[in-house]
Formats: sequence, C-alpha cells, structure tokens
Amino acid sequence: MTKTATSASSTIPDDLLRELAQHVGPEHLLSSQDELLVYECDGYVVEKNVPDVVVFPQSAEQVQAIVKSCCRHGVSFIPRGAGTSLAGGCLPVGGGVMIALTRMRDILEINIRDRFAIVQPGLVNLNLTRALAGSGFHYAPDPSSQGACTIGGNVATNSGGPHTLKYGVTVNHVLGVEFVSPSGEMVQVGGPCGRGDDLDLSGLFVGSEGTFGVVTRVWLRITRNPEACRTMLAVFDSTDDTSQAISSIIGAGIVPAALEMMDKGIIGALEEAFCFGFPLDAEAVLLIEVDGLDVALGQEANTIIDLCKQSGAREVRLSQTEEERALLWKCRKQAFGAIGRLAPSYCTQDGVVPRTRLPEILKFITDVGKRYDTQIVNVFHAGDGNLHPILMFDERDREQVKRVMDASHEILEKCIELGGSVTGEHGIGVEKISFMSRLFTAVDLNVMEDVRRVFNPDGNCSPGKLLPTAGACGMEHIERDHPGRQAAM
Amino acid sequence: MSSSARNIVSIKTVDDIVDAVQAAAAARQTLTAARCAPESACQLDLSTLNTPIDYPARDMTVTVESGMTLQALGDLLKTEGQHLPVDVGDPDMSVGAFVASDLAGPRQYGYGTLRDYLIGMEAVDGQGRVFHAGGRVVKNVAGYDLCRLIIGSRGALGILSQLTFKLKPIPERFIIQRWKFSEPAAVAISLERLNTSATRPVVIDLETCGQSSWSLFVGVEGPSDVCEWQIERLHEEISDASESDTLADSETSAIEYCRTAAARHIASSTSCIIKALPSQVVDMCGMIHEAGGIAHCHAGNGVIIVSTANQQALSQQAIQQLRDPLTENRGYLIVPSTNAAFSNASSCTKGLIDTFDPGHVFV
Repeated sequence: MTKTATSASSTIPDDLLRELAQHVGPEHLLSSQDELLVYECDGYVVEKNVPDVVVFPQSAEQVQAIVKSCCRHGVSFIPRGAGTSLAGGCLPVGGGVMIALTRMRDILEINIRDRFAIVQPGLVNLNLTRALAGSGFHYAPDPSSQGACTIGGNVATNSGGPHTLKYGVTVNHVLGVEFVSPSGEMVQVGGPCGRGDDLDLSGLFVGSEGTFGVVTRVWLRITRNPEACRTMLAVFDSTDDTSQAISSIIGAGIVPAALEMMDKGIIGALEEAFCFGFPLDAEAVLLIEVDGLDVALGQEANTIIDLCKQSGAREVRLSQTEEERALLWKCRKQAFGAIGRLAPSYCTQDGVVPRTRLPEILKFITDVGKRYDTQIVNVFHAGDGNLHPILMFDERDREQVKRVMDASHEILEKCIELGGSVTGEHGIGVEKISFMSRLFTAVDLNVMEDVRRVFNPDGNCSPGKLLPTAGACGMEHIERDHPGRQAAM
Repeated sequence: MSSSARNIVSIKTVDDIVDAVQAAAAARQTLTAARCAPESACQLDLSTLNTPIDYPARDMTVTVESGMTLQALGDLLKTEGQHLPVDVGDPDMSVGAFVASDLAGPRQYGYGTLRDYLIGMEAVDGQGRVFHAGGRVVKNVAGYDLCRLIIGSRGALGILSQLTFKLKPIPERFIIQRWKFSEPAAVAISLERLNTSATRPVVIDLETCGQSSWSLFVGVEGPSDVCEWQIERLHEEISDASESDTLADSETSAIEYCRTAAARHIASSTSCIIKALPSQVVDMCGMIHEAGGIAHCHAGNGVIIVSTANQQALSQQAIQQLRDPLTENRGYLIVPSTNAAFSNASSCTKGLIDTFDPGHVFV
C-alpha cells in the first residue's frame, strides 16, 4: 500500500505563505493536507508527491509576484494546468509551490483577418475552437484530452493529437509566448508577427515542459476550417494488414487529416462504452479522415478505400452523417476513458517509430504483453508512427507495477532501436528521464543543461523534469526533505 | 582538411569542423560557414560535406549533410515524387545555409516555413562540441527543441553538419493566376476575401510599384481538376480587378515564379524586408510608394520585400517611418546589408549566444 505523504507545509516558511495569500487572496490558496492530495499527481499515477501549497493566480501580475516571492525565499515552484500530463510533467518533485493556472482562462483577442488569437494559459484547448465556431476557423492541435487540457500545458509539452498528421503540432501554431521567467522577469518572445528579428525563442519555449518559466499569455495561429471531410472506418483481420494499409496510403502521396489505429483490446472496451457498432472480432480498425475542398475528397476517399481493400481490409465504412462521424471521433478521443472498464489503473506510453516500422513494433508489443503477463491495448496515431500502448494494472499490487514498468521500458527501448523516440507528444516529464541518455549523447545533454541554465539558472522552476541531471542543480535539499512516493513501490 | 592563403578551410567531415572551431578559438580568430564572410574570418567550405545519409522515402523523411545544395536535394527528392516545400531563391545555396538563414518564399502561405519541416540536426558549437537535437521521426518532443532554435540563427550558435527534414508529396499541378488592379482599395478588398476564400491557395503574393499599379498573384496546387475548379472560384471572388491572366500553368513555370520571388530575400538590390500583419500590407505598400520604393509581398503572411527602381537604398528617415507602425504588433524591419547579428536581440538570445559561443568565434 502507498504511504501518506508527510505534513505539507514543513518546507514552506510562514512568511512565504503569508505573501502568497496576499498575492492571490487566501481563498485562492490551498495548504491543508486533504486539499493538496488532489494535486499529488497528474495522469501519470505511478509517482506521487504533494506540493507544499497550491496557489491560483488570476493575472500575469499575480504570477510574477508569486514567482518573485518564491525566489526570495528559495522555494521551488511548478506550473500546472489541468493536470492531464501523462508523464508526470506536473509532479511537484520536492514539493514547493504549485502555480495552478486554471483561473487564467480567458480568450483575450481573436483576429480573424490576421489569423491569430491571444489566450491565457488556463484556457481549455477545445474552448478556443468553440469560441471560433461560425468564423470559418479553428485551433488545429487537438489532443484527445482537449476537452480538459489547457493551452499552457499544450505549450509545455508541444502537444499533438490525431490531426497533427496534416496540421502539425502545437509549436507549428504558436506565434509568441509571454512568460514569467524563473527569476521573476516578465518576458515576451514572438508575437502576432511571429518570432521577430530574434532567435526563435517561442519555438524553443514550446516543449520545455515548464522548465523555462510560467506561461501567462500565448499568441496562437488559427487555421481555416476545411470545406468538407470524409471519415472512414477500415476493419482488418490482422495488424500486419493494417500496417500495410497505412504505408500504402502514405506511399500514394495522400496526407490524411488523421490516421488512427485501434486494436482488438480497446475496441471491446469502446463498444461496451459507446455502442458504436465496432466489429468485436476485428484485430484492428483504422479511423481515416481526409479533409479539404469537397471537390477533391471523393477521389481521395475512393483511393483510400481501394488501398485498404488491397491491403486486406474486411470492409471500409464511410461515415454517412455528421452524427456518425462525431460518434466515431468520440470513441477515439475518449478511448482512454474506456480503459476504466478493463483495469483499475493504466500506464500509457508515447513511443514513436518510423511509420514503416509499425509492423515490427506492434508485434514486439504483443510479445512483451505475453512475456510480462500484462494486458496491453493499442490506440494511436498510426500516420505519424506515434504509438500509445496502454498497459493495464492495479497500482495497489506491487508486483504488477514492477511488471508494467519493466514492460514499458522494453517497449521504449525497442522504439529507440527502430530509429524512433520515446515521446511523440506527452513529453519526458519525470517518467522518461532515464531514457534521455539513451536518446542523446552526454554532450547533447550538457548543451541542453546549458540552455536551461540561461532561463533557469537556479533550477527553481519545475525541478526534476526533462533532463537526467536536473537533481544536481542546487535543489537536492528539497528532494531529501520532501520525498515523493511511487505506486506500491 | 586543407587551407589556402585566403583562409578558406575545406571541410570533409564533422571532425574537420570541430578542429577548425577549436583552432579558431585557440588563435582567437573568428570563423564562419557563410559565403559572404568578412575578410578577417576563417571561412569554412562545406561543399564536399554533401552526401545524402538516409532517405527512407516511405517514411517521408530525409537526412543529408549540410553542404548539399538545395538543387541536389530537390533532384534527390523528385525521384520519389517528394519535395521540401519551402521555396528556394538560390538552388546553389547549401542546405545548411538555407536553414541558418530561415529563408522562405511565396508558398509559405500554404506550406509554412522550415520551422515546420526540420525535425533533426547535428551541429558544432563555438566550443567545438558536436551536439544533436530532434531525430528522424516526424513527431518527437524529447529534449529541448534546438532545431527551432538553430533555424534562422545565422550561424551564431553553431555550424550545421547534418539535417533531417520531413517531406511532402509533389502535387499533380501548380497554377499561378495574376490579377491586376489600379486601386489599393480594391486590392485590400480582394485580400480580405482571399482570407476566407472558398479555395485554399498556397500562394498569395502582391507586387506594386505605385499606387495605381498592383498585381495580385494567387497560386493553387493539387489534382488538375481541383486546381481548375479553384481558379474558376477565384475569378468569382476577385471581381474588382482590371484584368487577369495565367502567369504560370505548369509546375516548372510556377516553381520558377516562386524561385524568383524567393531570390529577392537575398538579392543585393533589396533595401529592407518587413514582417507585418497581413492586414497592414496594403497600407505599408502605400508608405513604401511614398518613400520611392517598390514592394514585393507575400501578402498572406505579411512579408514585404522593399527595393527601389534605381536600386539605391531607402533613406534612414524612410526606414524609420516604415518601422513605426510595426512596433505595436512586434513586426520588424531588417536592412540586409547592415544586419549581421540580431539587431533587437533579447537578453535570452544574448545568453544563448554566449552559451553556444562563449569565445565569440562565430561571426
């Protein structure tokens, strides 16, 4: 069983608590143990640690005041959006002050003519597209958690989603970022006109996982809606056939808007949850969407259907109504929610392989599942080669947790061996720090440490994240004073 | 590695770059891979560092050495019906220089810029460290995004040795249609309509050499019938023009248009390059006319390349007048002949440059 964390406020000076309460108001500060438990982890439940205090600023000025107070008292801090990170990006390593940005959720400006929006970091991703409804535009990066995840979190991890195959990831849609630096300075990089006559600092900031500062404003590119789309569900009796279809579609020069794969394991859970009409005996299905000018889509869809059938598809269904399309996407985007029917806990990986290596990695994942006696289902962005094997377990069982950790490790090692990466969109967080030395040389990591030191010289912002040497940046005393805990370990 | 009296060092491997950097640092010399190097700087010649390293066409990525020319890269990709859809002004330019300069042309409207295509890199910094970022897969968020940092860094952070790009299929057809106007108001209305057009152009360019002389270029790509459908729709939407003609109706001629337009970014006759909001373009062109300038614009992106009929530079006063309306939206103006390092570098940029090149070897 897991241990309860020690008393929350043991490392926060009373003076700091008083200052924080002054900055945000006492009603927007949490410090009692039971309140802080909510923030002990994000979507990565294997490791947990409560922050010492959580504050909810409402403005950039309040964020700046909070950061300056933390600096004065030598206390670390970590920003948090909705806590949907799947890599422990929001885990408060060593405790410290958690700066929850969910009250900063406004859309400050929408400029259709110049195709940008200015938003606060706590804005829920989907709410920007909802605000653009009727304008002919949308915000393209669409992580499956977009109904909950926030723009600030998307910026931190360079989030993707199913439609990134055609439209790109978050960094392709960020024009500028305003942030409070770890020393308390308000900094703007980029803006409505993009990077400016400067290095691409907003491009560097995106994906920095909260280690360069706390986002307070983001300039985002908005994208024309496609005129039309065609959404298909292709059903296969083998994962090899499915992989062949993926390669054929891409090889034909077609760039679908989305190309998502779901295997038998997840199909069963989805059918039980949503009653879509998935064939329960299929080994895998492909959700394929093409979008663009209506005049072009008929031919494109027909080509895809032919390629799928040539690759062995049992059938290919074309969505006939918007309702059918919406339900299909609901099944895909809420697939992780359906996991609850299969196991009390899950751990999902985020490996990437070259698209042509998908057959190998899928076979390997099946083999890993057997060897570790762990159920693994797959739902992922096949067009990008970005896998999400979902390993199911019970976090109360120490043995299961170990098997899942070992199985995950093997899968990610295999991704590297096949020329890929360990994270396509979730980020390194704390979960995958040990893999950084497998992906990068010691020199590469030194260079990244040097880059981080430019923004975060004292290591007080989001300590313990992304880089394996993070613990050796002067904050070790916090680690020792405020140890975290791992599920059943 | 070999050298000559002109202090040009020929590079064959990344180790040669390391040796050159370390030698320059030890001798307190400056060093660059740029073709237009100051005479005092040691110039690296990477032209023989030009091999394709990996081209898994079905994965639609390619990895090449940085000295490969853009022409050679384009020829390689064309064999598989693929391209790096960023317009090239000078096909003899190296891929490394292209990335370091962050050049783009008309098709940035539809395709984006190098920021959207570079997925992995290897470079040597001013300390002689060989470092990598990204990888060879199209989605990868491991580590800091040094690829984006290096794009447009103009050699201030490192000498590129290897680059990996993601690619796109070459479309079946590419047409550029031209419309001519005599009134700026009609141009502005047409640009506004194009922003929400029923079509999906990949090029929206504008040229003007006087308040009564405007040419709007709109390019569409895709299957042939889809291109023709789009041109028909555009004729309906752009109804205030005085005349229209097809400027380019084949991939070759359309690409040639894009090449000519992209070449202006690096032409010696260019007085300045402006980045504004798209909605500011027509007004900015009016100011450029008043200053005696000619404007070639990637209007859909707010990029304006300014030159003069007699190829003389604009006056300092004119330059300042053009800068003023840009500041509110963090637009900017660059004068290429005077711009080496970043004229408006932030403290973060200075810190990063000092980190990668503490001895200020690079120039």
